Amino acid sequence: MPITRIHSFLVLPSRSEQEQPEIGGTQVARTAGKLFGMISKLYDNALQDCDIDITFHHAEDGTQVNPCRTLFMQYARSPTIENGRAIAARLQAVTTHRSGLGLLFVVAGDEAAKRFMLSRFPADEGVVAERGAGRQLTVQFLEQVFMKNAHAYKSVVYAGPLNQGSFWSGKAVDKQINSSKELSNYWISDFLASDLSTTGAAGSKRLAVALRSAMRKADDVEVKAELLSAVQLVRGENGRTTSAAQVAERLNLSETATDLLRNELPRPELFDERFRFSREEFDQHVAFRSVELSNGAILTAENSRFDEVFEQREVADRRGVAGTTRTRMRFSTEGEVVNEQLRKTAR
Amino acid sequence: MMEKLLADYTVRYETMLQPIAAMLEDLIMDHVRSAKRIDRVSTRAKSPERFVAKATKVNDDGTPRYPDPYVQIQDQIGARVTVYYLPDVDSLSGLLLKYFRPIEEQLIVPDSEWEFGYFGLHYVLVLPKDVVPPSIKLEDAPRFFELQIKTLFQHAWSEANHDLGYKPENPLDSNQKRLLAYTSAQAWGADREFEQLARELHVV
Repeated sequence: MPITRIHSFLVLPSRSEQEQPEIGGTQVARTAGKLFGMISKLYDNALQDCDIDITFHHAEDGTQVNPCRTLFMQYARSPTIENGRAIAARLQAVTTHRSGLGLLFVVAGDEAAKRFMLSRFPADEGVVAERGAGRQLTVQFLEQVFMKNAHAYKSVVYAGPLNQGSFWSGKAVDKQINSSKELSNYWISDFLASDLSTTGAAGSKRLAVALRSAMRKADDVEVKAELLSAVQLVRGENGRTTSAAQVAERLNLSETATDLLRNELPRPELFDERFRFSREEFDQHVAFRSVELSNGAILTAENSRFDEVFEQREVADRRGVAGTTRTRMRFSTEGEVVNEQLRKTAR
Repeated sequence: MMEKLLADYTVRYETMLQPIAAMLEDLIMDHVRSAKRIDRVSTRAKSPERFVAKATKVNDDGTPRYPDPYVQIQDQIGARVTVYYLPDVDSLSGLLLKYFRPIEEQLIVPDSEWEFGYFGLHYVLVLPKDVVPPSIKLEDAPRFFELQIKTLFQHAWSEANHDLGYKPENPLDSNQKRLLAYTSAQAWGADREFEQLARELHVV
C-alpha cells in the first residue's frame, strides 16, 4: 500500500489573528473504511486530477528556501501529527472568513519516490435524518459537514526524492471556485507560497505564436477566419488563468482549428498548460499593422510581416519632391486572393 | 561506479542535454530580441567530465554531496547572456524574469570588500517545457537550468579565470592568484567607468 500516513486537521479561518486557535487533528487509520478509501482514491488520481503546474517562490534573499516546501518535506520525511499540524497552522494563518472553515487531509506516501498530498474540503451544512423505532424519525441540522460534495476541494501533490533539487514544482487543483483570482491568492500564492510554473508572459507569447502559425498554415479560409477571430476574442481574457485548451473550448473553435493550434505548440502537453493571460504580451506577438492611405486604401498584415508583405517606396508627390513633410508612398504586393469580404465599416 | 555514471551521463549529454541547450538558446534569443546592447546569448550542456567531477564530490564526513546527481545538480544546462554595461544587467534580468520562473537568484561577489574575484548575477530557473524536444520524456529532462547575466568585462574575466585559474595539475602560487585578483579589479573598474560614461551620454 503506497500511503504511509494520513492526518486530518480542522482549520479555522484565522487570517491576521494575532493569537491563532489550537488546531484539532487526528490520524486517519486504515480501519477508517470508506474515509480511508476516499482519500486513497484522491491520492491515486492526484497526479492526473491536479493539472496546474506550480513552483515555489525562493526566499527573499534569493536562496533556494521556501517555508512551505520545508514543511511539506518535513512531513514527507517524517509523517508525524506534529509535522502535519505545522502545515495546518500555516494554512489556518492565511485562511479568511470568506474561505471559511476547512478540513485538511495531509497524506504521505512511498512510491518509486516520496509523494506528498494535501486536500482541503470546505465546511458545509446538512441535515441528518435518523429513523428510530416504528414510525419515529429524528431530524438534526448539522453545521460542520465536510465532503458533502466530494468533488469540491483544493488539492496539491508533490513527488520526488527528498533533496535540495526536488519538491520545487508540484501540481495543484482548485475544484471549489469559479474565479481564477482566488486560486492564485489564497491557495497558490498565500498558502503554498508558489506561482504558476509558466509565467503569464511566456504562456501568452506561446499562445500568440501558435495562433499566428496556425493561421498561416490553415488552408481553409473559414478556419483561417475562425483563428483570426480567436486572436481578437482571446484578448478579453486579460488577467485570467487559462490554457490553450480552455481558449479553444471557450471560443468554441472547430476541431480542425483546435488541432491546428495544438500542433503549433512545441509539445502536446503545453496545450493544457495554465498561465495568466497577458493581453499586452499577446499583442506584441500577434498584432496586425493597418496603414490607411489618403486615397482610401487600407492595408493590413501581421505586424511582424508587414514590411515583408508590402513593398514600400517613396514617390514624388504632386506638390513637390519625395522627402517633404507629407511623403507619398507606393505600396505593392502580390499573392493569390484567398478571401474577399464586404464590410459595413472600414475596420 | 564512476565509469557507469560517466557512460550514463554521456548518453544523456548527447541525446538530451545538447538538443535542449540548443533549443533553450533559440528561446532566450527570441525573448531578448528587442533588448539593446546584448553582446551574445550562449548555452551549454555540462560536459560529462565536469558532471562526474561534481557528482562524485563528498562532504567532510565522507558521504556523497549529491546522492541523486541528476536531480540535485541544477546546472546540467547553463545559459549566459552577455551585455555591454552594468545597468543592462538589471534591465535584461527584468526582461527575462517575465518569461522564466526562478527558484534562486544570487548576485555573486567576493566575500570581502578588500577582495576581487568572481562577479556575476546567477539564477536557477525552471526549464520551460518548450525546449524539451517531443521525443524526450518530460520526467527525464532536467527541471532547472542556470542562467548567468554578465557584462562584457565580467564575461571576459570569468572565461580567462576558468582557463587559467582551475588547473589541478598546476595550482596557482600566491603572486599568480594576486594577478588574477588584480585583473578582476581592473574589469570591475572598467565596468564602472563605462557605466558612468554611458549615463553621461544618456545611452542607458
